[in-house]
Amino acid sequence: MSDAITLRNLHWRAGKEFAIRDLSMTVPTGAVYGFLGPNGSGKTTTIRLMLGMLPALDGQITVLGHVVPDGVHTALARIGYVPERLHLYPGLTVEEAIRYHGGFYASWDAKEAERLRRHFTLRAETLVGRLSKGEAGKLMMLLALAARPELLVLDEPTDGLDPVVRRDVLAALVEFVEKAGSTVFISSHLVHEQERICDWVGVMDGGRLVAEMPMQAFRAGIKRLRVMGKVALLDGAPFAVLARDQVGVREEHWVVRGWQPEMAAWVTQAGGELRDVMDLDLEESFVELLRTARTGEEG
Amino acid sequence: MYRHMFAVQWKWARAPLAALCVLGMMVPALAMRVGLTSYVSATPRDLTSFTAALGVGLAFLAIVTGAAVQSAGSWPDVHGKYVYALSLPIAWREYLFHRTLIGLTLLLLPALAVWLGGWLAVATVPLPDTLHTYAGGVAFRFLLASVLSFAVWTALVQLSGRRVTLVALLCLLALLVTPLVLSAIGLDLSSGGSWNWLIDPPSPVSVFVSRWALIDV
Amino acid sequence: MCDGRRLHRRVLLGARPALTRAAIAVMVCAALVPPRLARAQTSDRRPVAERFAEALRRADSLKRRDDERKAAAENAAPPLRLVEGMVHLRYDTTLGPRTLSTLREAMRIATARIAAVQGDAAARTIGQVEFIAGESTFWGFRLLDLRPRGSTVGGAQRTRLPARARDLARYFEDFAAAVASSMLEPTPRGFQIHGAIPAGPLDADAWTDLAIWTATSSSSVARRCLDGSLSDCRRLLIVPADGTLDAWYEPADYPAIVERHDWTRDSVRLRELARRCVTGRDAAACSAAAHEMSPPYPVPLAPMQQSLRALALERGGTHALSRMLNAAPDDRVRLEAASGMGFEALLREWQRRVAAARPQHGVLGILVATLWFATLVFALARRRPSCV
Repeated sequence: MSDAITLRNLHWRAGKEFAIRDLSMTVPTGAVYGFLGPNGSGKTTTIRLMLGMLPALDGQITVLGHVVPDGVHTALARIGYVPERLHLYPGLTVEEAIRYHGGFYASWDAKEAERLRRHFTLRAETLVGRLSKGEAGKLMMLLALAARPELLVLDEPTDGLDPVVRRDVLAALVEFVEKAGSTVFISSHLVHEQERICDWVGVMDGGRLVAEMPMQAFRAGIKRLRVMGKVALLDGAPFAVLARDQVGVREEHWVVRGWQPEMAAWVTQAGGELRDVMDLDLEESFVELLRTARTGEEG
Repeated sequence: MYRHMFAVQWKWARAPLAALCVLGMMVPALAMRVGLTSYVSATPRDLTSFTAALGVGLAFLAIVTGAAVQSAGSWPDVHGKYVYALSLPIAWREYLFHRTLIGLTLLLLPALAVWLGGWLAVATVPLPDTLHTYAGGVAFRFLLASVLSFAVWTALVQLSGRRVTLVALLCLLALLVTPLVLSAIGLDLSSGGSWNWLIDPPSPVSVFVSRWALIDV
Repeated sequence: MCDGRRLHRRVLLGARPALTRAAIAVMVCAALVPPRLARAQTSDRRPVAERFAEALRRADSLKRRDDERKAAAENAAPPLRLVEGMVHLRYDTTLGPRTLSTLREAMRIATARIAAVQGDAAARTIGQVEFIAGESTFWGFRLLDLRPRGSTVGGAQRTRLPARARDLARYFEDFAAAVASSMLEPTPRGFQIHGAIPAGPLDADAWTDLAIWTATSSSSVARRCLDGSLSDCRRLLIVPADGTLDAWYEPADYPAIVERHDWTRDSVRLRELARRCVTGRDAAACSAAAHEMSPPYPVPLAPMQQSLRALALERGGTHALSRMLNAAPDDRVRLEAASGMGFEALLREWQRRVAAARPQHGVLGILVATLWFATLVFALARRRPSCV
């Protein structure tokens, strides 16, 4: 099965401040891909490049087998897209906006759209410009889902929504994915939210993809080790040390990636005493990963 | 798709279009009324002069009409700094084609109003055999001018703010530098002849400044 | 720092305007103060009238001398000479090479255009006169002064430099036309402004202007002529010796021409007549007012008669103007002599030309608008915008 999205050596620049540099990324078909990164790391820009809304300076983009930007409009017919901000015309009513949007999709499911409208309790005659943030989020999700897409691209779909609305939106998303088996590319800086629904994860920082792996590997491979004693050098360690903090006089905390239980012997050989191995949740892993990436960049 | 796009464009443009249609009908009639009250005995030359003066009003109205219809359609994108169509499954060319077609359809209405206004304005004026009325011709010219204005505004809207400034500066520079260059190569500007390139065909300005005679020979 | 040389320069040059200003101020003050008779002057007790007459004589004498000096200066031909075609020019060293080159081009253009209208008679008009050219400055602008030498016809012209050859050529053409017109004495009434002979051959634009002029004329005779009435053309194009108003206008046209006439300088009686004509629709008042208008009203129609002469000269060829000048002083005879064809045939030709020159509402505007529209839309279609 081919990949839903592939980016190869993508370059883009906005003035002197920000650039996407040599970005390569693969989103497998059928995956729910969590695209993580702090604010301003380049997530939205990457999505816009991916959907042909921004012209890349260099590199290759393929989405659902179509080369972007030339074949983007064909690809978009199979994509449901929820942008970061409300992109609908504010002068239209909800009903008009749904009708207008649906007019562009051959796969549009008007009944599903109506069902979702009722489910999301959106009033048909309300002007889009008068919708609350939560209602706007629901409407955009409705428009993305009613197109019966093969790929859903969601750019911060729940950002700023209250917990109830967020739950509704995510529930609708999960329900759709379960039924349709579509690929989902979801960008967010809300890490714990991604943890529940994603099976792949990519982490952006400063315009670079600092990690891309299955969620399981990401969650399982990053550990915090409590080590007593002095270990002078960590060169030659069978795992990658992401962070090393002195906690007490003799105690250190290491954040490592690629940890296996049999590696405990190496710590002892190096002069340390392994006291504890702790699992990190996704958010902690994410923070540590970014810290490492930035330290490495500075070094 | 065209139907949906038209419905949306119509919703936004109908109010300004209604105002423009009323103006389009009134301008020829007003020009004729005002002109005819200048003299007790209007000569044929007066009639052609009144209606030629009408051209200024109609040219201006055509520019406004094109800009209004264009802006009504593109205002939400400009205001939101986001081109909605880019996230829709439609090729840019196709989208532009539909938008242009809708623009042309909408622009027919004010042109029709100008034709009706022109026809009503000249209906009651006794004309000598050497003069003829051109209500249809003026309305067609109005349509051309408003369509051109629509296209120019579309182009300007598509450019970024920085590029619009650049284009404006280049135009200004051309206007300032051209006389100097022409003067340097020995062409006299005092007679005004050297400026004709600005208003003669194939300059786009010619569409707005040439004869708008509702009554002509 | 002030060295000796600078001080010297300041004393010589800088002090001089100050002294001049002081002298002028003293003179002005002296002029303002009422004169008191000096002891030596008290003996002059002549009457005021006598003294005034003497002052006038003195002023006349001064003016005469000044005029003579100016005339002498004007007739003094500059040393350098330029001949191009039939135009002869004298100039001085103030003219730069570029101006001279433009002048040469203008003389060449003018010669061709004058010859096209006047044929061999051009030798008697433009060929007989020498022009004087010189450069001057006014408020920092460079000006080219052109004037005929020793001619009673035509005046001087000042043109801003750099000038276009075509504009300078028009001066020579107008001059040649004025000279030719003056040979056609007596100049018909109303032709003092337009000239009986055109300055150049009439091009398509000129014929179109004429067609518009005729079609929108306030004369119903002119409009009927354009619509095909040959008798009205005859009435319109021959200038009658006893005035043109009745020939060119009909009573129905009078209110319009009376309304457009400026009566502010006329007598109360005429103003009242005009008012009764315009607002009261009094036909008798209109007729009386129209016939008493000053100057006579035919002037707006003069270009039509001029165009008939242009056509006659065009049809007559090289010797047309010579034949016209030598013919009996009658319009019809002159036109037949010039054109070498019958008057009726010439009239028909004129009518055909004017009718054919009516402006056509062409497709150029449509083409231009479509072209620009297509270009813009095509350019836009090629460039997909981005969402930044």
